[in-house]
Amino acid sequence: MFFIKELTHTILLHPSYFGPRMLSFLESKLYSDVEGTCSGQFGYIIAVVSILDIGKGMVLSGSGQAEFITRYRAIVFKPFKGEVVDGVVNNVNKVCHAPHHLPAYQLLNPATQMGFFADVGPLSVFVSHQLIHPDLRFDSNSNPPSFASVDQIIEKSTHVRLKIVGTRVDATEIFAIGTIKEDHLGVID
Amino acid sequence: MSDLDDAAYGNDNSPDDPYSQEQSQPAERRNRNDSEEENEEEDRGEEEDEEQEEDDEDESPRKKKKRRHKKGIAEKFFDLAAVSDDDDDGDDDMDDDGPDGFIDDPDEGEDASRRPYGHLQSARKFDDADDQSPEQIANDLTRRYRGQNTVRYSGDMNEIPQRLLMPSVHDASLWQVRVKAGRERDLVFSLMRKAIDVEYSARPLNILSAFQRDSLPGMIYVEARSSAQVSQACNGLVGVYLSRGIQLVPIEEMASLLQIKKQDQTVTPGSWVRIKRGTYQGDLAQVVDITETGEDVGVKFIPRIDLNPRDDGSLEGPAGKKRKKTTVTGSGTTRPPQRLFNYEEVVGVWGRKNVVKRNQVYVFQNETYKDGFIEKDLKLSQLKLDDVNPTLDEITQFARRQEGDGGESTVDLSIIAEASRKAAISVLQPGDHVEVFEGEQSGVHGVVEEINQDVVTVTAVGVDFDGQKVDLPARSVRKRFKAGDHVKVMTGQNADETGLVVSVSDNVVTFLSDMSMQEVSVFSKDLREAAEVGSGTNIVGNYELHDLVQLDLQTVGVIFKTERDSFRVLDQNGQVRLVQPHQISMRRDSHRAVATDSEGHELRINDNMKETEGEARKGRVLHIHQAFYAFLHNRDIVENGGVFVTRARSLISLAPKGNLAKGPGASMDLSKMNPALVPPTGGMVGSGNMGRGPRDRLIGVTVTIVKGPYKGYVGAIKDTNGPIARVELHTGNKVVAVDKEKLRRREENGRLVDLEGYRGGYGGPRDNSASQPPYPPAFGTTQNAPYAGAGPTPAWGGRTPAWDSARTPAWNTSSRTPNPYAQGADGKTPAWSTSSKTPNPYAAGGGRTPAWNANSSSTPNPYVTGDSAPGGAWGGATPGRPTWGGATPARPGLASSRPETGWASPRPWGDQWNAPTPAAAAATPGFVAPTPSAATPGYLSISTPAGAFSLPGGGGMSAPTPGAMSAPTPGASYPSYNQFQMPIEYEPPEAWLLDPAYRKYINRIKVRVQGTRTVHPQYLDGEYEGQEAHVVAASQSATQFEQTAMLMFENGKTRTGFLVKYLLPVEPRFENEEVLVLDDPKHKGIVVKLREAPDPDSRRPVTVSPLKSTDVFELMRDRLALLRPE
Repeated sequence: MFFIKELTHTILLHPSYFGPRMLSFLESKLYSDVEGTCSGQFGYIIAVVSILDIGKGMVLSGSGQAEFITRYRAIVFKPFKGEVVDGVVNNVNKVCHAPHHLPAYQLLNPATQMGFFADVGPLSVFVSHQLIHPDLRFDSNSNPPSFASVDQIIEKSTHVRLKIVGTRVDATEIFAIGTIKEDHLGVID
Repeated sequence: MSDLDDAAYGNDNSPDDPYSQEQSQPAERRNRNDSEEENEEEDRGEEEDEEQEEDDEDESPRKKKKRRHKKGIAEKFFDLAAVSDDDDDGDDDMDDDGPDGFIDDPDEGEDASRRPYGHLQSARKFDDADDQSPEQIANDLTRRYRGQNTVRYSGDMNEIPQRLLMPSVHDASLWQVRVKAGRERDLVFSLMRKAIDVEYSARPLNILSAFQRDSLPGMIYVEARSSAQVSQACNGLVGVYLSRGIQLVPIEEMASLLQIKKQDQTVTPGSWVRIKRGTYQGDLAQVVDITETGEDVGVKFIPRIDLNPRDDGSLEGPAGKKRKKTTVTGSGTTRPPQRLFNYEEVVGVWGRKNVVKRNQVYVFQNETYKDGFIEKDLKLSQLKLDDVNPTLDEITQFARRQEGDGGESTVDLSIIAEASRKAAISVLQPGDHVEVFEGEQSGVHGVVEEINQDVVTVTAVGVDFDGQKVDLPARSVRKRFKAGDHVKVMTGQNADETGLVVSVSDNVVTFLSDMSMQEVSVFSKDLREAAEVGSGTNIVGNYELHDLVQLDLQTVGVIFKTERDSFRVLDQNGQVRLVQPHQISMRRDSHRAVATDSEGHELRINDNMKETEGEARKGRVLHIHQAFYAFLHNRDIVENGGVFVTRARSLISLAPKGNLAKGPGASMDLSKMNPALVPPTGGMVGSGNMGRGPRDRLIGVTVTIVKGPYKGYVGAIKDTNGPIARVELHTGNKVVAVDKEKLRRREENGRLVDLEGYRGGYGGPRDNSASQPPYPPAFGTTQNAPYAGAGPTPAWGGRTPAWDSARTPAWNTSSRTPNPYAQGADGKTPAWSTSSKTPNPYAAGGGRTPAWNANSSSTPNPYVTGDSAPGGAWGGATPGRPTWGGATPARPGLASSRPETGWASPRPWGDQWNAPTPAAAAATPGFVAPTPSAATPGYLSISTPAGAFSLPGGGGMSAPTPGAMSAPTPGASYPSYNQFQMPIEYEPPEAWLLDPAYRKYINRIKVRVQGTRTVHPQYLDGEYEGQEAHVVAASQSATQFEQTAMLMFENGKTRTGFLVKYLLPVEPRFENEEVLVLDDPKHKGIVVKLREAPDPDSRRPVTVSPLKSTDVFELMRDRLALLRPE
């Protein structure tokens, strides 16, 4: 889900930048520092909407650098469990040693990971084959690898709608697994 | 248990004798049973009775008491002489048949009647009986048993309640005797033989029974009245350690010693077991069938056939067979891997003759193979039935085979579940989500509330039951997970792996590992919900996933998978190895390694590359080895966790490099490729030009050993390794390893010089530091170039051109760096580190320079020993430092803000502020000395927001305080600096105000607000900064909350909830003010009155005296807090 969130960022500015164009430099530095990063707490910072306060630069003793605590407003993207999102298939895992009818515990070989990764904006979502409708079978002969049923095909760069079933939130990364095994999920045209 | 009594009985009684029934009963019970036995005897016919009687006599010393009692009566019936006669014979008899199994030989009973004397005796007895009238006999019997209980023997001993059979203090005791382990059983039998041997001798054994328990190795138990009897019995037996004491077994433990644990382990076909011994030790096996006795179990398991038998074994022919056998056992040392039996394979290796096919099975080396498995009957004792814990891997190996046969398509999950069920109970924890999968409540799920052995109380979650507490057997619940849960594996080979659950089927949970992005299936019992991301799986020991590790001299590899205690490593030849952490000799750092790709471009770590040949795999470069092999990683490749190895020469960059545009000539920076041009940085492990410089420079140096057994020997260093040097002695041609500390460099003129002094040595001259007197004076006088970099360096460098070129420019630039702050944050600026190497030569020479001496001798923290490079570095900087004092007025601005960064590279101060005041420098040697210590790294770690330069205390020296720094006259501050014993400046802790010691006076303490403006956002907009107030109230709140106080400011306003951390005590200013002692070992928390006005500029203690007391003592001003007058 997307939010507009007020955030702060601390910029340390080298004394050589102290000068007339300092503010514009600070702004560009803020954009480059912040946009596209991910914090576990707020999610991905997609874009800075506005800078609320560039902060008063405080020169640090010793290093001489100035510390600006900048407040800004940004669009953040944080995935939640249960959320339905659209994504683009990035990669279909092509390994398939185990036949489908085998129960899960037979998928022991580490090489039996199956499913696809989809990019939902900056977020990478893995959809396991077990969370793919059984009609969509892995087509081992296709190139690029794909999951295919009679009327649908999922391969690289297919657009899919999926539901996030779980997220793992680290300090600097978010990872999610998703499902397309429910109504209205799957390939979107 | 073997019982002496029983043995004796068994000797003479037929099996249907009542005694034999009783054999299994504990001997302690005998006393009580005696009466019953005798009643039984009475019950029988007379003749029988008499025989019985006689038997009793025969077998003799059963119970002393009884015997005595019997004798009194029996004497009337028997001719004593005849009896004794008989005794002797019996004795002889025993001697004969003692050794061969006298317990279970049923013929023995008849033996007595077969004996010649026995016949005679019984005949005589019958005569006696005939002589008497039935009445008389009856009378006799009545007389004999008069006064005895007439409880009838019920016929079934088991009817007697067990507790009545428990031993009491009146029974004989049980003694534990230490024996040689493994000989327990033999010794018990020896004891028995001995007892029988000496039964009729003058000194029969007075022990009642002896037994041993298999579960208690190294001890046997003997039943006797006293320990003396036990030691007498055991005396002379080999393997009995009487010297280790005979211990009495407490009565309450006696019964449990004899308890036989019920074997409740039942084997059912299909269950899993493990093999205890032999080649297949530890292997999982499945029970196929069980013999009726339950002793033999037919199991099948995966064979380990040696497919590489030694050559001599494969000889065929008449003699071949025998030899082969030895080979098979011989190769057992390295056991072959598990592999299903494959007829063609085995025939190919062992020859057709060795494998016989019968019906559906193959017979090979006396083993039967069916469907690839080996089928074998094993004794139950050879199998391990509990704690089997079959892993999914193992079971799948069985399953896969069955799958291939088209037989049972799935493994019976319930069997696996059964095998792991016992464990499952123990892994439940309160708070776990569980679901019931069997029984009435099947399908219910809930949260575990409590666990009481096998019963779990579950708060059900669901429509009907919601909130109800249900008691359930632990075995019918299992942990419940749903897709999307973040879980962690608790046990098993995937332990510590975390991941997101992808699917759940029955009790197998599949999750996507966080680390490897692989799907992993585990039993739900092994999982827990977890918040953290498992890092444990990727780090074993000191090694981490994707580390480049040295396996042996020739081999390196990249870890691509970490398991519980081991790694899977892909070595440079593409081989996968399973290694333990201890097999790894070191981790290699290839961060700086460079190779060339197929187009001759530079190739570095983390570059995205693609193979030009072969499979054209893409990947990110993980490591480069010897500029030849490149290890790459690509998550899309499944083999070896995405890691593969290839030749660097066969790679091509995926992204064109920026320097390509500059034309072919610029594509490679030759200066980087030429190791000679690269300044030796040292410690650059893994790169081609790895630290050759500093480490090896000692090699070849002629040294003298000054300590230890080789003291006085002269030799040359051949090799160094850390603190150890290998020295080849000039005499004796011997190489010895000596601590470097024990070595001194031996100069041409025979002088001994400190070895280490040269180690990081700047110019590397070996011999001239001592013979260069000009230096010390230069040292003392060069104020503006403390390092004298420009001056002396060329001279030094003249000796060692290599060093000169490498170091000097670097040195100069760094010392001139106009803006060292850029790198200064961590105190490890290049400038800093190079400078740290510089002055050691000085330190070595220092002892000979008077000026230097003066300094060092007055320095408590002795840089003169100068072993540590930084210390020496500061020595070098010292002359520049005194300016410090002179420059003090300029300081406060800096000192009041963050000192910790400010000091990171303090050296340039010397450069910048070298407005030299020679007087100051000369006059304050004491000051000069401590200064470097203030700048030591230890100092840097102190973050004192107030800017107080308190030292860690080692030097016992107070560094300049901001207050002192602001002294208008530097001279004034000098005296205080010279007080080396001055206590460290006190800085109250953050929540000082709430110290219980001050509680009594809390509402009088005056405080000053400080630090509210240096935080962001400013606390209360910094409105109160600098204001003084007195505390109205303050009390300690819980630790996780901010501590606050209620204040009344001087303008009369009160403010509640003011954060205590912004409050500082107000120091007293005038005489007669009442103050609270904040910190003092003796006086803390008391109120004192100032006897003099404190000097605001000095750190001299002030004289105070407690209220209503005439005591006077001195305290530091900053340890006092002004109190509001009452």
